[in-house]
Amino acid sequence: MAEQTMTRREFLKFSAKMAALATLTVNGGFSAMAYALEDDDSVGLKWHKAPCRFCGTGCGTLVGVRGGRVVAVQGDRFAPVNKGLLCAKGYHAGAALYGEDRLKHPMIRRGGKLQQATWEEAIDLIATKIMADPGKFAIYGSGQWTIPEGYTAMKFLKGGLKSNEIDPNARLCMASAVTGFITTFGVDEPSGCYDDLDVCDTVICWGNNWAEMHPILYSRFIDRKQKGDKIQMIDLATRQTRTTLAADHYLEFQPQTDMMIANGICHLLIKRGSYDKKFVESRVRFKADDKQTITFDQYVNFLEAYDPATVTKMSGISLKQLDLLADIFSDPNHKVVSLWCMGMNQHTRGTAINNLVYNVHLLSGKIGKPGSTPFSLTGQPAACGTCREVGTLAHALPGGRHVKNAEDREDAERIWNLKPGTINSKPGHHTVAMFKAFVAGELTGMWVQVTNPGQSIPNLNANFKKKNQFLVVSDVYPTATTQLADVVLPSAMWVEKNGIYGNSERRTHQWFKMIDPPGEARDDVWQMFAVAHRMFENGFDGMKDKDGKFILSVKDEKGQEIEAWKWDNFKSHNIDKPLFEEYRQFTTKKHKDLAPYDEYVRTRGLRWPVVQDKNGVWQETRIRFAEGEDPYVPRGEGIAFYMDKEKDNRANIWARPYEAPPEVPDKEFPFWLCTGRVLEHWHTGSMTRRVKQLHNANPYAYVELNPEDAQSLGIQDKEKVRITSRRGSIELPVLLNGRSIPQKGSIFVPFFDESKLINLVTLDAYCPISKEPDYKKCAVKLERV
Amino acid sequence: MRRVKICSILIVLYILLSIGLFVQRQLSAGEDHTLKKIIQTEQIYDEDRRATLRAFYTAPPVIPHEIESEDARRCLECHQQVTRLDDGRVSMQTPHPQLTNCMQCHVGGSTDSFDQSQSNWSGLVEPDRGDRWFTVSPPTVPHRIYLRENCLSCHGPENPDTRLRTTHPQRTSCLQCHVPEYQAQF
Repeated sequence: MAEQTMTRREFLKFSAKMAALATLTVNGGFSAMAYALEDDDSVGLKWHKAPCRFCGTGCGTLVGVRGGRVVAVQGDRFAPVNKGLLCAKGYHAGAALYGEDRLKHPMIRRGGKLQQATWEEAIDLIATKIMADPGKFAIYGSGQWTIPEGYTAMKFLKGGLKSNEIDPNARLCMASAVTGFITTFGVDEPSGCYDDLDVCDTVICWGNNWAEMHPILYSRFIDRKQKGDKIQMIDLATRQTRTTLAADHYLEFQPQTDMMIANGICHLLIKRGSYDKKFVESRVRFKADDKQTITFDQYVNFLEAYDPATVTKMSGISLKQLDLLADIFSDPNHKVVSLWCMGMNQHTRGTAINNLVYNVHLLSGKIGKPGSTPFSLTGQPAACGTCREVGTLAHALPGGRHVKNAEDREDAERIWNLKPGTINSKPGHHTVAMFKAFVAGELTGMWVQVTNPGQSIPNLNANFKKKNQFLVVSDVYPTATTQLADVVLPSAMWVEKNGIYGNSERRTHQWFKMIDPPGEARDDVWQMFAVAHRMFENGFDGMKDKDGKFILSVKDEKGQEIEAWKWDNFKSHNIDKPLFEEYRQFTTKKHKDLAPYDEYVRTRGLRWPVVQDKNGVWQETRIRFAEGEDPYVPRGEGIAFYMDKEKDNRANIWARPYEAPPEVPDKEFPFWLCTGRVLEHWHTGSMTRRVKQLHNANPYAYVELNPEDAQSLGIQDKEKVRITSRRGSIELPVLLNGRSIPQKGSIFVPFFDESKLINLVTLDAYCPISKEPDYKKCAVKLERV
Repeated sequence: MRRVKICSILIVLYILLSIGLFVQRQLSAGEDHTLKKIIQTEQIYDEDRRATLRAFYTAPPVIPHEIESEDARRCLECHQQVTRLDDGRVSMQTPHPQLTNCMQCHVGGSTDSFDQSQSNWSGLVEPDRGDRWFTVSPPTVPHRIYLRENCLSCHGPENPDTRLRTTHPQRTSCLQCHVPEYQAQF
């Protein structure tokens, strides 16, 4: 690998570049370096900024590029999210591009086998299939879609096919957080930000193992102890994890009883009279489960059922532990951040438990102040930016709009220059329903991009199979999904394309393409452009705007049509910029204002709403709804929930009762099954399992048991067991006293391993409001094999 | 009689000494159990390993031994200071003890189940030594200082990789003579 070795001279040049880069950045300028994309070996190594491709934390990386290849990744010290540090996935993100089996050519299934095809053939076939039945063709996308990718898919489907059959994998991930935010605050996404972790006194993890899932944020908080800060972490969980090891208190509760605990804290706050009376009077409204507004007394009456004796009995936490939580929320000077992710979202009462945690913070007034906030963490790098803000959901339109709302549809038709009435007012299928409809043949075609439902959909035996249905998959590696595909399209990945992501704290951040994708791989945006234009050429009316022009037309800065459906044109232009500028028009209605594209080029991301101040400077917002922080809060209001649907600046406290999960362990299936992620692997492992260091660290799936359960079943460490539910079964080796220790009566299995599909076993029951399935609770039995 | 007395005393002393040694061995066996297990799974250091533990130059090295605990505080039992193990190997000192979530960046690498033929990755390789103005002038620092603020954790006299050792560990103000090629903030 001689060509990879940097000579002394090159190294010095590179160092000089680094110095130049540093100077530029200090002066607030990045563009000169970031735009220098030519690959010249004599220049040597170049570093460009890009957000990490993996989780929703949104760390800034510097990607080292040399000879047209990524050769190193380091943490970006100017990125406010991670301040120079990365996790193992981030450091190795570059290696994830170079798996031997990268998809490099389009493939079409012929005679049962996937065979190499040309782009022309693939595009023709897809266009023909969609035109045959456009209303029954779905797009299943991803929280790893960039903003321009998600936006293009929306326009393609909702504008072009006049249907709403689009949903993202974020439905399996963030949907309950979205419905939780909307029902409580009238608008989606957290009001706080990561800065709160730097000044809070206590972090409460609600079923959240952030030591592994959001390690950068975890260490951002926990490393404060090294500096002598008096902080504590309370781990409220169903199993002991790495987070537990650093926690000051571990509160182990029975699955689903997080609902009891949240109501139990509110019960105590009211009994003690230690809730924030002034805040509750002026900023809160009470709602019954049936959406009717109720009085404070009615709410107090509802809470009677959640007395400490009942709550502790049901949940398994002690009175002392419940008191500890109540004490923290009773102290008006104590700054508390509540954190959660999949534990609360993948929950058959996901929306309700999100509401209940907001209740605790609203009753105690711990919101909108630095260091006090309920904060919902996201799993994917653009779950917020693309799925939630662009709104790639079966019911949504860009910028927090809804297809059922006539005014919202008109907005989209105006911006997209469509004939009035084009956009369909009937929401499409949400993810689980979409796959059920696809299996049943009610949907005849589907295009999957940037995700792997063949591994990640719950209850795979029932929800992932097909006969004559037409399946297109755009991906970078062969996966469980491409195995079933009729057409496989090779995609560009991460820094092989331009991109924009939006992370958990409302931060939108962009990067430039740094290297070419391998072989014939091409951008997902281009793939959609090409298919749409083929349909347009073939006379498909939907792909015409009201003037008969191509619906996905993109113009350059001089207003000239780029003809971006031609690959050469696409490659030679930055298509992200015009797409982003068009999308930006949608963002002001719900006060999620975004700055012009170039502002994101200049910075390491900005948190919306980004509004121009009177000097013309684009200012981001750290704390939403707080006077002096959020430009939409009028002077003198303090904290104003200005997106309140009843226009009274109030948030809703919901009287959500505890409900038992749909499937609980019984005699035949005596164990709870919980599934989840691990630090080294990204979701279904299709990228990280192709990186040596990450693969070796955690090569195969396993099942974790409580050691006492293992003893009573006579099961030894590393022994193989069969896990069976009412839906399916798999065999796995047992891991005892490993990374996590599940509570008695429960087991844990990670889902990254393609050869061991735990989703053959999981349940597809979902929250009735968010439609997000519960991967954390179903009943299984264990047998030695 | 005198000889018998001396003999018995000697025998008693020998027995006592044996018991003492046995007890001591048992105790230390208990204490060192973890350490020994690590040593058994570990190979003796060689210079090339430095590179094989990393995906690319400046990447965080993987953990080259079995991990006995998920608790990062256990890592610091050996890595807070330079620690010499029984077999002569040296457990290196972390240059950034302020970061307490070790396994966030350093992942286990004790299993080797990865088929190298399945990857085309070739990362940045270690550069030469830092630049010098003339033969005996102090070389510059060829890497960024961030996360490596404690120079002696790698360049100290205990590092078994003799290439990296400083010849003058008594001079502790390293950056006084060795200037970083990177800007300090990188």
